[in-house]
Amino acid sequence: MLQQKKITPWLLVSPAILTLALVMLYPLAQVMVMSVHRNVIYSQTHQFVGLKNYAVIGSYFLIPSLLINTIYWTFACLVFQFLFGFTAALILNRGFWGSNVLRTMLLFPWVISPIVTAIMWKWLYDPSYGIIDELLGQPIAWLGDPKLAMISLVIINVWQGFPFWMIMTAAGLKTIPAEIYDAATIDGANLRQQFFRMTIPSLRATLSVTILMAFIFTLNYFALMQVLTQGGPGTVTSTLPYAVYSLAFIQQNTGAASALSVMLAVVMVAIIGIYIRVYNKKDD
Amino acid sequence: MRRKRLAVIIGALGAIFFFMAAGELFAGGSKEAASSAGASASVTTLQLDVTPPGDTKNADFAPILAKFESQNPGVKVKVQTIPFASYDSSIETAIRGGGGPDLMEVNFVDLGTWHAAGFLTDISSKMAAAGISADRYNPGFYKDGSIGGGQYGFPLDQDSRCVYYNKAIFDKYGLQPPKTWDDILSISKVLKQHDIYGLALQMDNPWGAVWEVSGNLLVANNGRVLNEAGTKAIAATDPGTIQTYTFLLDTMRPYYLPGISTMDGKTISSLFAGGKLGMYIGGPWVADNLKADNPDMVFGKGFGIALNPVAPGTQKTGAAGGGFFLGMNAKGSSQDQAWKLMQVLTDKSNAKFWAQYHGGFPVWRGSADQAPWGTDPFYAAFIAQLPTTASPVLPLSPQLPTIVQNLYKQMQQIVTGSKTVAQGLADFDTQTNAILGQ
Repeated sequence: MLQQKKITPWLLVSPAILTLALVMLYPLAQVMVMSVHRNVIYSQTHQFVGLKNYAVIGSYFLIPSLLINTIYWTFACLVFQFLFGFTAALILNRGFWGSNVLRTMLLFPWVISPIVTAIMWKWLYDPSYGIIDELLGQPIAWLGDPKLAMISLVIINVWQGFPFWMIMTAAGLKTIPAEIYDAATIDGANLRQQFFRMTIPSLRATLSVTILMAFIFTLNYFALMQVLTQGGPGTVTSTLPYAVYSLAFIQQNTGAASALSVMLAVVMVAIIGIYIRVYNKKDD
Repeated sequence: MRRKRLAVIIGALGAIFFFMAAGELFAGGSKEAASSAGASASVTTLQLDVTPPGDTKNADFAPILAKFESQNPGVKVKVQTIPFASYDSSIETAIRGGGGPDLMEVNFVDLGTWHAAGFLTDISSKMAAAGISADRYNPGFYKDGSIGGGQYGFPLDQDSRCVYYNKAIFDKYGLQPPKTWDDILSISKVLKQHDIYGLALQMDNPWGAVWEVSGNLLVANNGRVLNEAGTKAIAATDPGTIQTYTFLLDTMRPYYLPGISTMDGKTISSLFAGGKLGMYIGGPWVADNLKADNPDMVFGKGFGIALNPVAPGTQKTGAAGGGFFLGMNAKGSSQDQAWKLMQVLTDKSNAKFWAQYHGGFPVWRGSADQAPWGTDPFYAAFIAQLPTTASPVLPLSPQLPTIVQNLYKQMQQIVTGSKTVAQGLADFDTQTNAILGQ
């Protein structure tokens, strides 16, 4: 009887598990197989090369700049998305006339598809026809200047991503009972103390999940690079995910692209693992 | 016990359902073919993949296909138009996945890659059996499809590029169309004084950067980025190449628009049509874009066209050119039917259709002399430029996409001043030599 109870749930969920295995595990396994084969579009043979693709990626001269670009992109986006989203959530949580309408309007960037966002901002940034340069009174090559290209993409991603932080933070704020603030006020705690000693700790769980999800989304994001800059000018906006795309579909070397994507996945899992471990330790 | 039996039955049914769904999802072959296998009269559907037309007024396949289908009962043709930006990856993914079209347009730059990948059928024996001679085509471009003794497609159209100059601007400031590279520079200096840009580079993608503008000057100046055999990159030591990119990306830099390193073709044509740009190198298809932006931008009134200026190294003009071929999927299941369709599509009677479809020129010998090309002064410069039109990056190796990508990245860094011409070309050679050995 006990054995039946153990087996029955697995049998019932087996179709779902098999489906997930097909759409997740099979492609992952396929990528790992491809990463140890020489797969270039113009070669008719798929030769097993062991770890050679990994060695080639490891010694690829652009790897340092790709790593720097990826770190810069990810952390700049996360920091500013957090700042804007968190601030918006705090302001909206106070509740004022029109806050619901404002909250809905602030969601718009998040619901627009990345490609539409990219095309829209391409026109905003255009040095000849864009409204930004029109307002500034001078043409600036936002996407064409190597010094400005990456920050221009960060601005777009922050604009698009901060509503996610806003929603998650707002949901977390709603779970904090108002009574504790009343009690704190009675006890003489000022606003700053309430914020850092009560609000932030109460939001810890929410923020940690949000950071994790935003990290994964942002690190993997490459639509803006693909549509707006093609990783350029030069390589200043080439990140690791863009490099995977470029290796696979421009250089048509799917073996090297698979190796890079496996390496990227391993690094991400490691970072996430460390993060969860640190978070759980703090919890203890 | 009953519950256990019930659970096993539900689990088994679920697994069966799952595998049936998976089988349906991943079954190869055409449903039509599967259903036709059971039908008494089977219908073969041939798929023809094409890029979008440059001229939508001359893009109707229906009459050609209707004629083919009436001559070949039991064969239907389905035309699939795939956006240019995703065309190559779409075809490659489909064929690598075991599917793909029966016939497809092949951008000439892909000939080397797709041949090496085994995507294209060698039609030389079929041509011999059908008595088709290569002499019917203009020789230069036809040879791009001749690889390793085989023939991997028929040319459909070929193009060329010339200098468009804004007639209103030139007349206003008393300028003449450029005949030399120095003329381009002096015109740009004059125009800059009036807040107008001289020349623009399309730099939003590798092919635009290498073919649309820089390639013309490279061809004129006999510049090479690869050696004759295609086994080594030589840009940093080739005098023609160094001179070309020094002029284009260094000397001309002060006279370019802001954001030139990612400038797209539509913006360029808008600026030209709007009177903010004096010169623009492009093919015949540019005229439609200009007219869409400004109805006054018609040949002879809004703009003029001149041969590309002669290069200082060779004292010759030249242009980057290309076009499309029609190739047969080597893994297609209906090779015989596809060959019949291929012959119909590339028949001389359809040469004009393909040229107008792509906004290029017909590829049959002497065919550019017919209307509309031979009788319209708009095409005169392009027809005169055709004999000096060639690919700027030769040979067309399988690694051509990567080579062009490498050159493009260096061009972007040179034109923004991040690298000198010498550094950029040296880095190009280093990166390209690293992959040429693969």
